[in-house]
Order: sequence, then C-alpha cells, then structure tokens
Amino acid sequence: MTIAEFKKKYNKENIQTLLTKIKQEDTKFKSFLFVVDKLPNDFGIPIAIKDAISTKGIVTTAGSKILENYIPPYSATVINKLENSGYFVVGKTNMDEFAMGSSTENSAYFTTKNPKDTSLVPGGSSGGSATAVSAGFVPVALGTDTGGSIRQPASFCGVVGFCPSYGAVSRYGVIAMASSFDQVGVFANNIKDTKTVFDIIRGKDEKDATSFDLPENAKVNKSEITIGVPKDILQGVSNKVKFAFENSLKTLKHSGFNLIDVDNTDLKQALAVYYIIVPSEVSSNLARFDGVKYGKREDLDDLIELYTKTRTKYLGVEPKRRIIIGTYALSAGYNDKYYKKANILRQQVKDYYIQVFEKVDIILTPTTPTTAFKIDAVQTPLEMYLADIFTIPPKLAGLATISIPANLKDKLPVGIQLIAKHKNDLQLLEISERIEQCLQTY
Amino acid sequence: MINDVLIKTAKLARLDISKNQEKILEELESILDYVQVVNKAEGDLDQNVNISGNYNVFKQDKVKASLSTKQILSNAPKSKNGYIEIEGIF
Repeated sequence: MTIAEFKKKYNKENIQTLLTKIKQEDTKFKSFLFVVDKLPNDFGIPIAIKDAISTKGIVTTAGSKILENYIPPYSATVINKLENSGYFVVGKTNMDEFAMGSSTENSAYFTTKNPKDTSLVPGGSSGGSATAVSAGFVPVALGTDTGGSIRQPASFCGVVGFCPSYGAVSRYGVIAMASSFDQVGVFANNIKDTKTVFDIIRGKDEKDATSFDLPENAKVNKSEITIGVPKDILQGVSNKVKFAFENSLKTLKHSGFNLIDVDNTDLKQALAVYYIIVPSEVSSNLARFDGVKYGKREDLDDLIELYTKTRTKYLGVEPKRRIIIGTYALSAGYNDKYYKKANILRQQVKDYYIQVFEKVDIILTPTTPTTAFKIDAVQTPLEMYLADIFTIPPKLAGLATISIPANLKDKLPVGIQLIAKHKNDLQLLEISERIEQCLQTY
Repeated sequence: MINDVLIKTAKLARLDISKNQEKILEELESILDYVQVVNKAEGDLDQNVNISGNYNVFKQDKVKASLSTKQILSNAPKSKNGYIEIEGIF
C-alpha cells in the first residue's frame, strides 16, 4: 500500500478500521510490539515506528526487557517533524534488542515473521517496520540502520529501505547503539514515498551536533549515469540472489545505464572493523542501563551488586556479548591492538570509496548474500554477522545507501543495494527512482 | 589466559556470566579470532574518523524550556523528595 493507495482507500470516516485490520492480521506476523488504541481525529498518514525511536507518552523498549516499562517524556526530533507534517504514529515495531541482530530473533519479546513466508525471518534489526510495510499495514515506516538494519530487512521483505548519509537525519531521541554509525531511515513501497518521508525528517537539528542540511545535488541525466559494480561481488552469494542481481544488471544495461567494473573493498576485513568499533561504542552507550535512573532495577543493598544483577537479568545475550567485546577492545593494553587498528582501517575504507566515486556515480551490489533464512536456522553469532557483509562496508564511511526490490515477479524477495557518496542522498534517490522504473517495466 | 581476561572484563562491565560461562566464552573467542585480521593494519591516525564531516558545531547559549523534575523522575525505579533514590554508597 503506497501513500496514494492509502489515501484512496481510507478517509476520516473509515480510518479506525485500519487499526482493526492491524490488530486482527498482525497476529500472523507480529510486526508490532505496541499498537495505539485510537487514531487521532485529524485525518493523516499512518506511520509505524521502530521501537528504538522515542515517542512521548508511548512505551519505548528498544526490544529490551531493561526498558519494558520506559515511557519517554519527550519525542525524538523525527517524530516531532512527522507529527507536524500530518503523520501519526500507529504503533511501535519489533526489533532485535537494542538493534543488535539481523533477524528480530534477538528481540526480548518475540520473533517477527516474514509476511512473504511465515517460516522465514523478516531480517533485522528493523524487522518489525519492514514487515508492517510489506504486509500492507502502513504505507511507510521508520527504522534505524547501523550496519544494515534497514536495508537487509527491506531486502528480505520485498520493500524499499533507505539509510541516509550519516548526519542527514537527526538522531536526537533515538536510543543509541553505535553512535558513529546509527542513522534513522525510511521503509516504503516505492522511491516516491521514501523521498516524501525523507524530506520531512531530514535536516540540521540543534540537538544533534552531527546533523546537517543536505546540499541540493545537480540533476542527473540517465545517459550520463555511471554505475560501478565491484569485481567478484557475487562470490559466495546464493543462486537466487545471483540470478536476480545479474538480471538487474542486464536490465540496467539495456536501459542505457553505463556499467563499469570497480575494485572491491576487502569485505571480511570491513566486517572485522565493524565488529570492533561497534561493540566498543555499544559498551559505552549501554553503560547507562544500570538500574538507577530509568528502566528496570534489581533492588539490592550493595550498589555494585545492584548494577550487576540488573544488567545480568534484563539485558539479552547479544547486547552482553557486544558489551564484553567492546569493553575488552577498549581496555588498557588492547586498545592499540583492536580499537586503534580498526580506526586506521575504517579511514582506509573511507578513502577507498572516495577513490571509487571519482569514477562512478553510484555503486551497485546485492543487499544481502542470501534470501530470507528460516527462523532458528542461524546458530552462531558469526554466521549471523555475515548476513550484513554487503551492507556494512558503506556504513563504515557513513554513505547514503538504499535497497530496492529487484525480482518483482518472484515469491521470495531479493534486494539490490545502491551506494552513493556521503551527502549525495538526493541524487541517490533520483537515480533510484529511474532504476525502479526500469526494473518495473522491463 | 584469554578466558581469565574475558571473565574479568565482564565483571568490569557489571555483567555476571557464570551461568553458561563456557558457551559465552567460546562464542567470544570465535569473534575475537575473526577480528584479529585488523592487526595487520599499518599506519597511524591522530584522531578517529570523522563520519559526519561537521567540525566545531556551536549553538547559542540560551536558556530554553526543559523537562520538569517530575517528568524526569516518572521513569526512575525509585525516587524520594525530587531525587532518584539509591542505596548508600558507603
């Protein structure tokens, strides 16, 4: 359901039936952790919000038991902007705890199911938002993306998932996972709706010093667009993804896009860099959940015991794992060996992209190495980390990225990922819209 | 050796991993094994990578309306006389 289709179907008189539909049909997919009781009387556009984004007066858990009873006294900047533009929050969507995961199986509450096939995961961490859009409950949803948390579930659920440049959207009021990566982005059924929501939420915010106003990019001419495809990108990729990706390349070539080979970055090394810097930031950001100021508390006489019991009882396995890795990587004696080295490599990844973007306008890769996997199929943390092998590298450089459905006729969705220069978000969306047209009409 | 360091690290991070300790340590070790590859990085950095590209961000030093004490304390597990309540430290 696009925004236009929503407006055709619903009006002031029947808008409450949308809530009934969600409450009845979401029992199959469990995309929502919380749905509002009543919609506002002023007719607007419903939007689903990932539970990592603070909503004033509406419980916000980030998928964690430690925040089970947390009701934010303020809203995130993105929520205020949307509400001022005629959007209303329908509910809060399920996610991997503190956005750590790629399947929503790490949610402390329940696992969301893929609307295309309920035996499969919807991807994650913003799996609930992707599902809510894919199932037709809402035309648009917000998610957050740290290493693929918007693009990967979008790919698995067959919708558009856009992760803007780092700094394009304010993070004020977003529960932090890894502050130099986290970014709010949009799920929708097409690029037009994606851009509509993005235009509302983007821009400089005094409350987020990393935010900025985007420059207006020069309009692009299709014959002049050069797309870079990294060499050997399909190594180790599943057949379904390979097939859909190669078909997309053919379609784009036929449609007049200029495709060239570009060097690939060392994907496995990028993943290692990510899994040092992110846990390091996690260990610092999650130190605030100590049972003192808000959230759950295990009351004990000794303060250290109180901290330890509270954190041990209410934080899940993956947050604990990352806290320990991060604390280790930052500790005296290991800092130089891990954190500092990872930052040197992060700079090299950033330089790699600068160099590639001298030759091409965008880079094209599959969004994920496989289609959606079965619930409970992935057993080890490392296996799960590999689900983000294509979405992580551009995030090391804070680039603008988007996943678009590539195989519209197949049952099991495959997404392609477009990567643009930092701050080239508007151009990325313009090119994406043309690519979307080609893939639809071809 | 690495296991002792990880157990100590968990303790410093205020996490008790004694339940399932073996499995947790095994998983942590496999992750640390994987990320070893960064050790081959050469060169130096005087500061961490700046991702947003912003430098020296200033704003007016003006007093603005903020949340009330009552609103802030509404989420505190325990509070008393306008303060968050916690067991004595000493």
